[in-house]
Amino acid sequence: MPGKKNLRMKAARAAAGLSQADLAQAVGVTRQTIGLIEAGGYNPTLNLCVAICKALRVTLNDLFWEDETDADPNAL
Amino acid sequence: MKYEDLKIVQKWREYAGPKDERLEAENAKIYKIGFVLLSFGMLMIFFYQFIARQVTWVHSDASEMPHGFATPFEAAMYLWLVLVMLICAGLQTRKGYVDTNRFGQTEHLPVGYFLLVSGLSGAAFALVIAAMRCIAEAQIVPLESVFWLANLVTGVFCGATIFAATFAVLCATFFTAKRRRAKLEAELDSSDDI
Repeated sequence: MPGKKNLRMKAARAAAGLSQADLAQAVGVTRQTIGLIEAGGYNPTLNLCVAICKALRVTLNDLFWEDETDADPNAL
Repeated sequence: MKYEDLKIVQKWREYAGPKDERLEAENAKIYKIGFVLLSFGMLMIFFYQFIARQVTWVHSDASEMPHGFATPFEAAMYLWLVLVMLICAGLQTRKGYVDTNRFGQTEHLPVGYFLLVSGLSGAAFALVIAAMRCIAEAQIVPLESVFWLANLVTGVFCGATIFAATFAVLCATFFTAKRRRAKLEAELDSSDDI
C-alpha cells in the first residue's frame, strides 16, 4: 500500500463497535473503501473524512491529523 | 432546471444508493485509459488505411487525378474523433487549465514546455507516418521499390505541420484558459460569501 496505515481509525471503529461493513454502510461507501483507508491504500476526500468522523463520533484531528512526532518518532 | 433536480434522477439515486467516491475516482482513471486507447488507436487504424490507399494510388496509375482516400463514412469517423478531442480540450480550458502539472495555470506562456510537447508530438507523428507509409508500401511492392526517402520526407513534413499546429493550439488554449481563469477568479472575488 502506498500510504501510511490509519490505525487510529481502525481503533476508533472498533471502539464504536462497528465492522468495516457497518461503517461503510453508515457513510455510503463500499467496505473495500473503508478497508483501503485503514490500510493506507486510499486517500479519502474531506467530505468522506467528515462523514467517517461523524459516524464514529470523533473529530478530524482524532483520526486524520498527524503531528510531526507521529510522522517521525525520532524528530524530537 | 438542474440535472440533479429531475425526479427520475432523484428516484434512481434513492434506488441505487450513494456513490462510492473511491470507485468513481477509479472509474475516472479507467475511462481515461480507455479514452486514450480508443481514440488514438482508432485514429492510427484510420490513418493507416488512408495512407495505404494513398501509396496504392501512387504505385498504380498515379496519372489519374487524386481522389478522396477516405469514404464519407470514414471521414465522418475521423471528424468525430477529432471533435471529441477538441471538446475535451475545450472543457479543460473552460475550467481554466491546459494541463495538470505545474505548467497548467502559469501566468506567462510556458513556451519551453509547449515547444517540448509540440516537438515530441511532431517527432512521434513524423516517425509514425514515415513508418506507416513504408509498411503500407511493403505490402504492395518489393522492398527495393519502396520510396524510403520520400516517405521520410513526407513524415518530416507532416511532423513539422503537426508541431506547428500543436504549438498553435496549445498557445490558443493557454490564453483561453487564462481568460476563463480570470473570469472565475473575478466571480469568486465578487461573491457575497467573502
